[in-house]
Formats: sequence, C-alpha cells, structure tokens
Amino acid sequence: MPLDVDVEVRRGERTIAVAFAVADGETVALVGRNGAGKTTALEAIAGIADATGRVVLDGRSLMDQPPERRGIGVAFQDGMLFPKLSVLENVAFPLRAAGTGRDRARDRAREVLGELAPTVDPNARPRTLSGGERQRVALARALAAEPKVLLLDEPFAAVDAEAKPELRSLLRRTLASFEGPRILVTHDPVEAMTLADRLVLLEDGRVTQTGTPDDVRHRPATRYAAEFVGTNLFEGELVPDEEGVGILRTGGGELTVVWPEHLVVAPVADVRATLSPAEIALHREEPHGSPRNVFRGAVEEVATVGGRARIRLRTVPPLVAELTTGSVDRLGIAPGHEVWASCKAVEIRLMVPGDEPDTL
Amino acid sequence: MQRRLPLSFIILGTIGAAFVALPVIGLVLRAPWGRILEILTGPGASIALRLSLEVSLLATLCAVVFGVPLAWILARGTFRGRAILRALVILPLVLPPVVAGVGLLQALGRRGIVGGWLERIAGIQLTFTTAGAVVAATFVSIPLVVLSAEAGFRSVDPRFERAAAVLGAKPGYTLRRVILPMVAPQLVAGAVLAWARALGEFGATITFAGNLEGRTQTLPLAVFQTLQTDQEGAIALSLVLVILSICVLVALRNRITGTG
Amino acid sequence: MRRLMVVPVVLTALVLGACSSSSSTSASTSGSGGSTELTVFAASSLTAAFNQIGSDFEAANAGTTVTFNYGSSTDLATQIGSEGTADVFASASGTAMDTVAKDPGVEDRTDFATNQLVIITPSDDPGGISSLEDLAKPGVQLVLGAEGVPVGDYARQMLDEQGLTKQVMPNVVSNEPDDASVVAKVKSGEADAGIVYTSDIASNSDVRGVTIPTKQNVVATYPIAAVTGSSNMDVATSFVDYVTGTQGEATLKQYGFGPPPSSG
Repeated sequence: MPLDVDVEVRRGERTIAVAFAVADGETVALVGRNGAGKTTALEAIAGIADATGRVVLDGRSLMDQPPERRGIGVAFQDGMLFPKLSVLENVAFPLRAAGTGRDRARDRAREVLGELAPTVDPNARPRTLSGGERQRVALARALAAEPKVLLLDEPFAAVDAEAKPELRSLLRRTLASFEGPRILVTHDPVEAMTLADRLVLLEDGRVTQTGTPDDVRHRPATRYAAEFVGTNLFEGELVPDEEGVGILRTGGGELTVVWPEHLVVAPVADVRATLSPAEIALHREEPHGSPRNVFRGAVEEVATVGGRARIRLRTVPPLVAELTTGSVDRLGIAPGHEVWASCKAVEIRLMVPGDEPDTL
Repeated sequence: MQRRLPLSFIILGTIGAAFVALPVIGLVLRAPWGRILEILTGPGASIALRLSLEVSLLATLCAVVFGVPLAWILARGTFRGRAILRALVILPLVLPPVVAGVGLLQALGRRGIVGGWLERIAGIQLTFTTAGAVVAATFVSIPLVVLSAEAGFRSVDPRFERAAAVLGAKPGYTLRRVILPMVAPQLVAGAVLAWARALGEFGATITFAGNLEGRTQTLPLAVFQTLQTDQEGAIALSLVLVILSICVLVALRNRITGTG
Repeated sequence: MRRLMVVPVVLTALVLGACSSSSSTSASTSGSGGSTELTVFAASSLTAAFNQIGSDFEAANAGTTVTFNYGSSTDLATQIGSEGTADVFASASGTAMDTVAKDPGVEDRTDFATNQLVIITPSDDPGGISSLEDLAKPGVQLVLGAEGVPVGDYARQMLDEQGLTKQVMPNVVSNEPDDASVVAKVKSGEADAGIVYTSDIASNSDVRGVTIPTKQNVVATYPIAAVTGSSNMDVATSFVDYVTGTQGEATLKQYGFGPPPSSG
C-alpha cells in the first residue's frame, strides 16, 4: 500500500511544505537539520498537526480521518512511553484502544516484546529503562497493532553511543520485515545512509532533494546535501585552460578539472562540482607527481567513526578528506598540523547547468 | 550548619506562630473535659457530626465529578473567554460565604432563576433540605478541586495525548488510561482540600439551606447555635472540627509545603 | 539553633499566662472630657429604633459617640460575660438580663418596652396563612428563631400555651439565629411563614403581617440597664434615662414597640 504525501503545515510565521511518496517495502529517510520541519511533516502524516493537502494511503485519503483511525504506527522521539503503565501495558495500548480484549492484547504484546526487547521486564515501569530499551519498547508499541505504515522519529536521539550499533541492526531487521511503507526521521547521516533506501532532504520547511544515498552523494543539490552525505561541494565559474583542462574558480579557491567532452569551450557560470573525500590524498610534505590539484592548509578537525577518519582541512578551498584511522596514525595527523592535500583532476565531477540532479 | 536567622524575623515569626496556635490551645484548655464524653455522645452532637460527614463527602464527590472535567477544559481548551471562565470558577473561593449563599438563593431558591422553575415543573426544592446543604458546600469547594486538577493537567506533556491518539486511542480512552493516572496525586490533594472546606462551610449553608437539626444543621452550624446557650458545649463541638482539620493537614502535609 | 528555642519558650509563657488570667477584663476608654464613646449591646429587634435613638442622643449630647452591637440577646449576654466591653445592655428577654446581672452585674435596670409576636408571610401568601392554627397546615414551610434566641423562645412558649406545639413544630424548616434572619427568609419567599416581633414589621413593608389575637399572644418585656464596671457609668445611666424617658418612649412607639408594663 503505497503512501503519497503532499502536505502543508503553517507554524506561526513558517510554512512547511513537504511532498514525497513511499512504496511498499521501501524505507525513506526524512532528513534535515534540527528545526527543518521533519517532525512536523511526520505529525502531519500521523494526523496530529494542523495540515492541509493530501495524505493518501493505497488510494484512500487519510486527511479527513482522525489520528486514531489512520492505521499508522509511530515510534516517537524519547519513546513517549506512558509513565503510569507498565511496559507490557504500553505495548498492549494500541490493541486495547482498538477494542481488543485484555488477555489477547497482552499475549500479542508479550509476543512483540519478546522479539524486539527480550531483556526488558514486561512489568517494569518506563522510567526504569535505559534509552535504548525505551526505544525498543516504543518500536514494539508502534508495531503491536499491525499498522499499515511505520514512522520512526529520531530513534537514536536518546540512545547512548554504545547502544547504537545494536539498535541499528535491530532496526534494520525490523524495517526489512515490515511490509508497508516506512519513514525514518533523522538528522544523523550514518543512520540515514545505512537504513534508508531513499533520502528526502528537508531544508527550512521545503524538500530540496530526493534520491538514493548514491544519487545524493554523486549529485548533491545543495550545500547541506553535500554536507549530509559527506562529500565536498564546490560552486563557481568554469573557464577553459589548456587543451582538455578547465579551471573552476570558486569563491574559496581554484580547482583544476577535466573539461567535459560535450561542453563548448567557453567560460560557463554557475557550475558545481563534487569531490569524494576518499579521493583526497594527504601528505606531510609537498608531493610531486601527477596530481593536478595540490592544496596546503592546516588540519582543523579529525573525526573518527569506526575505522574511518574524516579530516576537515583549512585549505583554499576548504576540503574534507577521508582516510583510514591507520593512515591517520601513520601520517601522524592531528589538528593544527600543516598538511598537503592532493587529488587528480579527473576525480572532480562537474555538474554543468542544464545537467541538474532530480529535486523531486 | 544551621542558617543564622535575623532576630527580627524570629520575633515576628514567633508572634505569628502564637497567633495561630493560641486559639487552638485555648479551645483545648477551656474544653469541659469532665463533661466532654457526655456532650459528644449526646444526640445533638452525633446528629450534627453524622450530617456533617454526609454533606461534606457528598459535596466532595460532586466537586470532583464536575470540577475535574471543568479543569480539563480550562487546561486544554483553546476557546476565547477561558480566562473569564477560570475567574468565575475561582470566585467562590474569594467570595464571602454569606454572599455565596445569597447568590445561591437567587439562582436556586424557591423563587430563583432556575430554582423557581425546578419547583414549578419538577416539584424540587433545594432550600431547607440536606441536598441544599450539599449544594452550598459544593459551591464553595469546587474551586479547590479545579485549581489542583488544572495545575495537574497543565503539568502533563501534551505530547502524550498526541501519542495516544496516533496509537489509536479516542480522547476519552486517553484521559482514562493515560492522563488521569498521571495526575492522581493532584486530584487526591484537591479532593481532600475540598472536603476540608465543605466540612467547615457555614455562611452559605445557613443562608441557603437554613438551620434544622438532623436536616441541615452541620457541625459548624451546631457550634454557632450552641454558643448562644452553652459556651462550653460549643467548645467541645469545636474541638471535633479542629481534630478533623488536623487530620486533613496531616494527610496533606507533603503536598502543601512540598517538604515533610 | 539556640535562637529558635525562643519560639517554644514564648509560646509556653503565653499559654501559662492565658490559664491564670481572669475571664473578664474591663476595657478602659480614654474618656478625657473631650469625646466619650458609649458602647450599647442591644437585641437585634431594636436595631431600627435604637439607631434613631442613638443619633438623637448624640445630637443632644455633643461629644458623645454611641456604638451599637446588635445580636440575639442570649448571644450578647454571653459576650458581655466573657469580654465586658458593653456600657449598656438592652435585652429582649428578662432571662438574658438576669445572666448579665449575675456576672458582671447591672445598675439601673428598667423595663422600657414591650413587644408582641406576629406571624409574617411573603406578600403573596403562598401558604394561605390567616391564623396561628393555619401554621399547622401540612406543607407549610415555617421559620422560627432558634431555641435560646428570645424571639424563638417566645414563639415556642406561645405555641405551647396554645397547645399547638405537636402540630406546628414538624413544619419548622429552619431555626434562625435572630429575628432579622427570619424576616429575610420570609421576605424572599423561601419560607411560607415566620414568627417575629410586631416591631419587626413596623419597619418592613415587604412582608404581610397576620395579627395574633392578644389572648393567644405572648408579651415580651424588654429590660435595659447599665453594665457594672463600665468606665462611662455616668453616660451609661444617662443613656438608660433617655431611653426610658419621653423622647425614647416616643421613638420606640414609632417603631412598633408597646409601652413598658409599668408606666413611668
């Protein structure tokens, strides 16, 4: 049962206008900075925001239905477990609210809890649970009444770093086995990239790009998109240089690029280009050899996730490089150090106007 | 380390304490301890006590039944004029009880706006009846329930109600299973305060319901009447009310000050 | 810590002091020639009449202010006994005056007026009351003064003397603390009937009065006296004289009171 969303919510001065579709068995990550309107969009779909527009599930409009009749399961940020009910009663809540008898509801709740949160005591009160346990119970509660659509709002927000990997794999399994459309709201790139089939990027209440993680990585439409997928993005004027070579003049520096084959050899304005951080090599001394692009600058920040390190460089233009932590140690790179960054011209992928990526 | 208190505060505080303690101490000292059992087990006293308990408990029940939904409307409603409604509901708290009684007469007396109609159409009269005493006591104690319950409802994160709705619960079910358990302590505190107020109610009762032994003469009215002829007897009856009040305070000690 | 010990010490001292103090004190007013304050405790049935008498007395005695404390005579008698701030006491019953005479004592006691009882009903007489016997009709809602309040005692005495107690008492729906409250309940139409003094309806045109024949009626005798221990004894006796004198009697008659039992 595919979900089709095209809603507008007015919150004070701001308007949030979101439109996208989710197919059965597809996980869409609704991503954006805090305050971009992700949770508002979610609330509009769930029916608890004052929204206008369309929310259509399998051809049936949900807009005129009150939230309790939309058949949407939601796991809320912070869990939002009811404090005066036990874990079991919380999970049984959607079933009981729909009129299911107490025993049957509790049996089903026990079943779901056993799958998703086997180590949690069903008779415990929510306040005794850890952040990760609360999320599991919230997920169980969302799934207990077998909803047609699953919405997850920032599932990792209140979870410790150590508990995240386990929760992530649980979510992956759960999402995979859920047959209907699924929407995951998050601001964290790692969560989105690992769990979602498609991304919908929200900036200032508007959708700026949709696509698979790869689509966005190769052709980010905005600076935020590029930041989100962790790629370098440049914008500027492209001018011809030698035969087959061009210079991209950005506000923050110049890059040597390969002139696109089909492009007329003349200056072009408003050209954008991406450079994958993995394609940048770092050196403690000035390198010699083939790379056309060599930049010198100080290391601003080194952030490690798993075995990989992302290094932010104060070069001209500013760059983000990615190395293995092993390489970082070998090179002895730390914030404040001067390094040389180099990359081949051919690694810089140009996006010429008229050649834009999809935004909807 | 004990905080140092300024001497002026100690003096003023002591006077304040004495001011409050002395009437109670006076009652205890001047009570006719020799006759007290005889007085308190006599017919007049036990009738008044039984009636007082009956009226105050019924009034508390009514205050809760009508006050809690009202508090919910005030806490969650978005209509205009909410501030006026809240002021109206709190009014009985600040109104002199006799004035409340006069007002009740105009509304529910035999010639009142609604009361007259009640008597003509349904043959129901509230003045001079026990029901009338309950009405008077409810009127003055409902604000206590509303104040406490509204504060309780306001302290509940509205996101819980939205979550419950999304999970499939109709508003009534959400209230019953999620919200009310969360505000139970405040509801109990409000009910106990209401009961204490209803128990001590005098001005509105004597003005609206009248004063007749066994029907409308609650303990405070009995004290007032006994005072005319038997001061010691009045002191004995007063002690009963003091003891009941102390029980209320002990029951609520943590809620009132927030400390033990 | 030591400083807080002050609190229980002071409280104990106050309590001990309270135990041993005498139950009545005499208030002293600053009567230094210039202005005198006279406090008069009077039965509530005397309210209208005495307010008039009070202003007349003040006019005749420049520099004197008369303050009234109205209430049920028995109630006032108790207050005088325990507080003793009254200079003059005018009662609706001899019994109340006797109480004050015992403690703290009275001077110049004189009977100054009489009053009789009357049945009152709302102006539209919903109960159909035309006689004392009508009060026994089933369904009549009757309001009396409470026992212990003179107007209540007199009413009960009267019903008793007429042999109507058993029939009428079941119709009583409320015992009011004073006659003014009885009038209020009947005036508003809440009660079908009440029994008060004739003086109460002299100043009240909104109620209907049903005269009780003298042979059925009781006569209430009102005594007045200066209270022993008053710090304004001269002014007090002067006030008593005024009330019992021609001026006072005329005002009382104007307000519906009967003459005192013995002329003079």
